[in-house]
Amino acid sequence: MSAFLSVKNLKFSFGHKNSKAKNILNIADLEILKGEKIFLFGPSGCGKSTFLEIIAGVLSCNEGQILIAGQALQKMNSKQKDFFRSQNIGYIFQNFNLLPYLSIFENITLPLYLNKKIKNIDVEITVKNICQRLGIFDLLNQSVSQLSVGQQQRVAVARALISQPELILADEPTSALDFDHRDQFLKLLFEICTEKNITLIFVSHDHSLKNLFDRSVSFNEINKVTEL
Amino acid sequence: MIFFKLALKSLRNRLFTTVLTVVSIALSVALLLSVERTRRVARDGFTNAISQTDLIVGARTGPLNLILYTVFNMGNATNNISWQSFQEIKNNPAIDWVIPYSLGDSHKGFRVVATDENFYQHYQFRGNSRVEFSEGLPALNIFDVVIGTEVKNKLKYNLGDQVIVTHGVTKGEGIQKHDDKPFKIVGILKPTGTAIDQTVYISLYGMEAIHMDWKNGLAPTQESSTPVSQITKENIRIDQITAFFLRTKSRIQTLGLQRNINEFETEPLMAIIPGATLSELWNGLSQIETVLQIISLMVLAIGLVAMLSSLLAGLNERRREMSILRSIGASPVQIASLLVFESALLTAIGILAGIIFQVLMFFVLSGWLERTFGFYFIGSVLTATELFYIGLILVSGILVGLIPAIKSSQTALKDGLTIKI
Repeated sequence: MSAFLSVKNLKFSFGHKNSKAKNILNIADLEILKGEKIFLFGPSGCGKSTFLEIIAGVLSCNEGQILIAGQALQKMNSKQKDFFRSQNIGYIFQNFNLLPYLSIFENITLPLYLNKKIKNIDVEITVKNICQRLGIFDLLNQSVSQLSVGQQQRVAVARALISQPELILADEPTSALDFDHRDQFLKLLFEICTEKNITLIFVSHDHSLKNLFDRSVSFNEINKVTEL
Repeated sequence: MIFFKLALKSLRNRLFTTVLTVVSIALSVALLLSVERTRRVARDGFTNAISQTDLIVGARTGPLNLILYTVFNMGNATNNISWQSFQEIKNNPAIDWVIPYSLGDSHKGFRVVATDENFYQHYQFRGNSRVEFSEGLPALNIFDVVIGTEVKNKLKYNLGDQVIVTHGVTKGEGIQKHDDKPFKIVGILKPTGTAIDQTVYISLYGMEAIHMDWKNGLAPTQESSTPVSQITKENIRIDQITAFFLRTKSRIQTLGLQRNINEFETEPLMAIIPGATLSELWNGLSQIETVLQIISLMVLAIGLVAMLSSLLAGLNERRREMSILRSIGASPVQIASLLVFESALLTAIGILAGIIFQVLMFFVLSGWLERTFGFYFIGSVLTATELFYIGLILVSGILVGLIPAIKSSQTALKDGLTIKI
């Protein structure tokens, strides 16, 4: 079975390409299978979030190849990357996931307006299905500020799922949740990913989560930054 | 379309800061336009008030004083010219026409000028604009009166209405009225944007008629007053006038004539060349113009900085929103257009509000400004200079949206999601 996502010789540094900025990412090889739920852990500031942003195509790597679902990310221009992201990737942050001035329904459906998939989807039914699955259907008419952090994270998952992505990138989505909510949230996320055969890349500094995943990778082990 | 909606919802969500930003832009624009307009009006008011007149002649006084009381309805004459001297000069073959002026009375705050048919034929301003009637005829009979357009508007007069002249130049109602000899409105002048609009014109005969029964500066009693029916042009003797305008047949003769009048032996007279005096007046005022111009530029600069800082502050709060939009697939171009649309919208509304505010303010204050300072607000509200400034404001408003847009396109998502203290 070939990898759904593969990263080869990825190098990245902030700043100008020719400047002697320190590389913060140097990943020789990472392969992730379709439907795999992978846990990337490492201390704060080790480049995990940056790595996710490169996978998402928000940042561009300096060197190396990234292959996602058979498409080479490093060969795309930024417009293609934005389109690719809106089509294939759901992104969940630690917090501040939602736009406070939109309703829950508008927050969830926002990606559809951006990537113009809306024509092919019955929005009402899709939102209903996803929200019932996530247990937030009753909340659709509330405003963002009325929701708890846990509820906000589930709305964020609903938004990540709305465009039927193949890959979900989660950047410490549980760190604002307490222990019980964290486990509930993860369980739900795993179930949905399994149902829809979605690949999940989950980064966190919290080692205690690693037993819940198919595979866990220490970010410091794959990221061989050579100190200058 | 979705971005339009997003921008509006986002603005509504921040209504208070949005309104503050718009108000600050509007006030800057209004202030800038007001200063510019005042500058323009001050300049035009002086340079366009009189033209085609070669000399203004009056009793010996300062040249500025003479031009102020004859052309701008400001200040008072110190002395008069005798009718004999006037006739003597008038008969000089070098002279094409003369317009006599007799001043000193008023009507409800508006100055009364006694003149003759030459005024209606020859008086010119703003190049070669002439005095024109919107209704009626020149005041040539003894108790005829012609009013300027402002007089008509303020006092709601129509043709045929009665006008009672007040003795002396007063603001509002005077103490001593010539109510024994009422006048009748026979003509109303078109707007000129000069002091003419605020003037009441009677004939020289009329001026003499209302003063004919006065003795030693005392008003006539009912008994000593000559009945109006007995007054005819034949039994009125015009003694003196206050000043007169003259046009030579050839411009070359102007200086010689001016010297002759200034050396007039029978009484001390003075002749001034209006153009020269106006430019002298203008030189004094040009410093004011320069000051106003500097003030405009400072207002523009301060307004721009205030606008940019309030727009930028608003946009900076929104890094988080930008990150969320980026993460779900919005391109940097889309985000830039969102921010640019937003700042352009705020700037445009601000500019519009500023213009409306300025126009309303001038509408409300123009009467007072005209009465108090002799500023006549005629002409367009916006000129090329002001449009240029407004364009500059709009462009800066649009460009300022690009600053955070470029910033957000270059930074990573997590930068927008971190709380910066």
